[in-house]
Amino acid sequence: MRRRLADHAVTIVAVLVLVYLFVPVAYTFIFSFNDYKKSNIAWNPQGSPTLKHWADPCGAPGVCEALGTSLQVGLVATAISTVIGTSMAIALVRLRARGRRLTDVLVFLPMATPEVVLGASLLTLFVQGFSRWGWQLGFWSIVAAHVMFTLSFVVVTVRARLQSMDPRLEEAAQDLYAGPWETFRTVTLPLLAPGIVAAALLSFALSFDDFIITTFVSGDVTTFPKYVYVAYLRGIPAEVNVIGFSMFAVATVCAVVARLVVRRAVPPSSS
Amino acid sequence: MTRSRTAYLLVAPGLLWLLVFFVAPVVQLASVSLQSPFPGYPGYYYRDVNVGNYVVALTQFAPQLGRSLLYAAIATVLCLALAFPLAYTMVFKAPRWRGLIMVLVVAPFFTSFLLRTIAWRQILADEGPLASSLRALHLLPGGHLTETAAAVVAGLTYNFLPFMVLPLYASLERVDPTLLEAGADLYGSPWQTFQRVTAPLALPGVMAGTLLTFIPAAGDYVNAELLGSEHGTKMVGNVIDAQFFRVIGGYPIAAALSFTLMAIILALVVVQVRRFGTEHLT
Amino acid sequence: MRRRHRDTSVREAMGDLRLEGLRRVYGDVVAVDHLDLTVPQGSFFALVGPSGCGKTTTLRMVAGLDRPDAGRILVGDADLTRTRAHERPVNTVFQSYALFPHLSVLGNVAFGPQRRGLDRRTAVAAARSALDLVQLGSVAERRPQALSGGQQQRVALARAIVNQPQVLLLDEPLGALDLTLRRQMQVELKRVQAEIGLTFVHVTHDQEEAMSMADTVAVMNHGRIEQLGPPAELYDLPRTAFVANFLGQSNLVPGTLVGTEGDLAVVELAGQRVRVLAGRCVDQPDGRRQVLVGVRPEKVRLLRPDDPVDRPAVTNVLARGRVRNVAFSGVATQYLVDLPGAGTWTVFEQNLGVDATAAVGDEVGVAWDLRHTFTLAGDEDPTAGRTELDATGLDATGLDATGLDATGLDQTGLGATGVHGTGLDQTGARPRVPQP
Repeated sequence: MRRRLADHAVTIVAVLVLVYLFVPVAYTFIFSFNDYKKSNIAWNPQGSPTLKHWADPCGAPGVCEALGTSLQVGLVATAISTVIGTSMAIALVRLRARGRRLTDVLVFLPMATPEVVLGASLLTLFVQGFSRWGWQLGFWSIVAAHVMFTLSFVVVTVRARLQSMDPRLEEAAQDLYAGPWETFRTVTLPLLAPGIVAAALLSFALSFDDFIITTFVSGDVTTFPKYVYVAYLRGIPAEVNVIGFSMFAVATVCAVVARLVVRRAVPPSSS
Repeated sequence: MTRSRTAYLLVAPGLLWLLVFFVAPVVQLASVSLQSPFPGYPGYYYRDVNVGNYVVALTQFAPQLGRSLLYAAIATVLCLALAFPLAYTMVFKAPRWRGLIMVLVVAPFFTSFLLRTIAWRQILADEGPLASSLRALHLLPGGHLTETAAAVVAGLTYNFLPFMVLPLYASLERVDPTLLEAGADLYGSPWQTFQRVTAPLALPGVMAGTLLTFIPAAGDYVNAELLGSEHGTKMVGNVIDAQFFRVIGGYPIAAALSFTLMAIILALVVVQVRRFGTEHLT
Repeated sequence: MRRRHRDTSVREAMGDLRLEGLRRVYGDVVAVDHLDLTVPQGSFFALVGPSGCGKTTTLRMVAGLDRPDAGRILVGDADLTRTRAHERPVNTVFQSYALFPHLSVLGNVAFGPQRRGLDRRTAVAAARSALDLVQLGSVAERRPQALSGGQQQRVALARAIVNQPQVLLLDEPLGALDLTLRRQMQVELKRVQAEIGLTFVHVTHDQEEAMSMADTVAVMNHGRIEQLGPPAELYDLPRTAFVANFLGQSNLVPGTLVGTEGDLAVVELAGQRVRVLAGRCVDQPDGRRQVLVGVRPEKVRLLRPDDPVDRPAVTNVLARGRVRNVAFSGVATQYLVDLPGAGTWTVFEQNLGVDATAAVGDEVGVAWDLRHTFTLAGDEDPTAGRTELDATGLDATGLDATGLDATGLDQTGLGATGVHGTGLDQTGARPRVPQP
């Protein structure tokens, strides 16, 4: 009896943790119906719930531009870091070259550095270095920074997947007349796909949600988190809540769909 | 021979990116941390070996630095305590749902962590439902939930929880469930099985999770800003942020503080690596 | 429709597989040491040896998955040594099958033909007929992981033979299967080989499997081939202690050559004399009179003190032994007999009679047809090739002497298979079936 209780306790805690993760998301959802300019401060005492912010999420000035910037940064940075991170992971796991140790350390270091330090150091380099050559803070400096800090996560995620892959599968492909490139295309890549998708999702999530590094390197460009931060001081328009919750919903749906697709393509027992 | 050439080609772009946007900035930061303000020209600096910046950083801002490490450590322990049951449930109790739960753990990132932290601030606010009911029950000695150290730590715990769940999940997933059965079969009570079998096998995940949680938490300033008070809960990140953006002539001090923080964290990482090996870090 | 490659000539090489002076070193370990070997085209060749003997390394070098440090690999007259795996007319059935989990069974089998430039329809047709050959046409659309171990094994076989390679390499192909399935697959493999007439090189640690399937068996040890020949010949006349003990079991006892009687050599051991056909004696440098006398346990029978010796002219007898252990195993009974001065002998007797011949503690002798006797070089270790269990006499418990080798530790390269969970059923005890 006690044992069963302890058994369930773990599950109950797990459910509570999930609830804990979602309390603020729910709050955001509820306050997206708040008919009040400063939606985060309080519920409009006179107003009943309204759908008007959902009808026009771009109603608050600048919010959709900020969202657009964040999505663009996220997509570009994710594309770059997924491609170069995946190729790095492959080289580190499958090909033996000198300098591997050093590369490992270099990949690890950005993860071991607080964002505020990364942001501060990038800012100094831009102010005292790149801006002299005409590269001002803005969209591309944000992209450069985001690729830098998401790269490590991509390498780690893809590498984990690669390491759990049986090298015999690639040997079998070679044995069956596939050259190096064909082996990669027909065997390695399809089996790696779930890891790459996971890495890309994580990378996009980190980029989209990044605030600290972005404030340092964004100059005049406003991303969605930066917009939220600036708006917070004057009161957050309810449209922000609409967008925040929608992004969450869209991401969840996309991720679930992606997982289903990947699961169909590569059955879970593949490693 | 061709293999290693391919390897270099594959590594080169990423390596180059890290050299330009990580190594170079950090080197630059190191040099800034030793610069001195140009007398009479606020906001201008000259190249120097001004160790005084570090003295200021370590004396004037020691409380914030210490607080950062303490808060981050507490938040990391709390994250571990919360993430373990979740990861364990995902792997061993509800394997069918593990994919969905994984998505749910990452998805809140998309609501923006600022928005969620602001939500916490409102939920915990003095006039909010939680604080008022606790007050009514006389369970809130200080009268506040926000603007306390506890709120800052809670915020850090909340924000970095996914970084603990993901690696823990990844390492538990590799554990063969039959090992747990073997543990039980060999007369281990559930607790003993956990202690002797599950926990050691999850160690790589705990290691990675601890680093991924502690490091960003120690450098964070958003939680301290939104959930903390003006005095007594500021962290080193707040100081760095302020010195960079709001204090004229603060660059070298901010750089020195950044560098100190990085050095402390790297030292902690090295200690941990020495104790447990590098295998599971990256 | 084949794509023209610069390697076409290599890919279409035909003839015997020849290994010349092959050598592979990992750090300080010499995995394969100056190996010379010719495998005739169309034969079923088995490489057998304990784990770490270099057989898998040899196979991987032939497949092109590992590079020799010295020596050449030829098929017919074409030198494959410097070519890569995908350029060779060689296919492998991997130990863990290595079926692609992201492709259907048909996709797996059609993989090779497609890579060789066949158009999709031709490739699929070839794959279907290969699947029919292994009787798996009905599961072509399934995923490999949905199949049983035996079915997966046959998919792996079909995936290799569909390419009609000059040489088919089988790396412990039956290692992961249970005993019954293993026996079935041995028959099946043999049938397929007979049907398509390819050269099969079969690597295994299981000497029974090697002997029952192959035309030629090569016993490998420490990176070298100890002895090579048709299974019956190898079993009948082992030339080293390792082969004598590794292929089946042998009683090996040190003795001294004392003379000849016609075409018989006379050896003295423990004060008694036994005779050996001169042609069954290992050549030794002149003057060396120390030998190991050997005889297979199933050739020996127990002799009670008052039993008459029939046909004494062709029978060797060693008297004054005592039964130490009796182990009944169904078809036969194994006796361990202590012979003072001649060690402990193992005797297999088929259970023809109603009662056991002897009980523990009985005084017995051993007798055998002298034509079964052989001698080996006297400086050899009589326990070479035995497992520890064997050496301590514990194999009377019925543990397969070679069972411990089967854990997959042989993988000198990227040994992922040891972890694949197949190790467990290989180490399990199974009854020893004595050679008839």
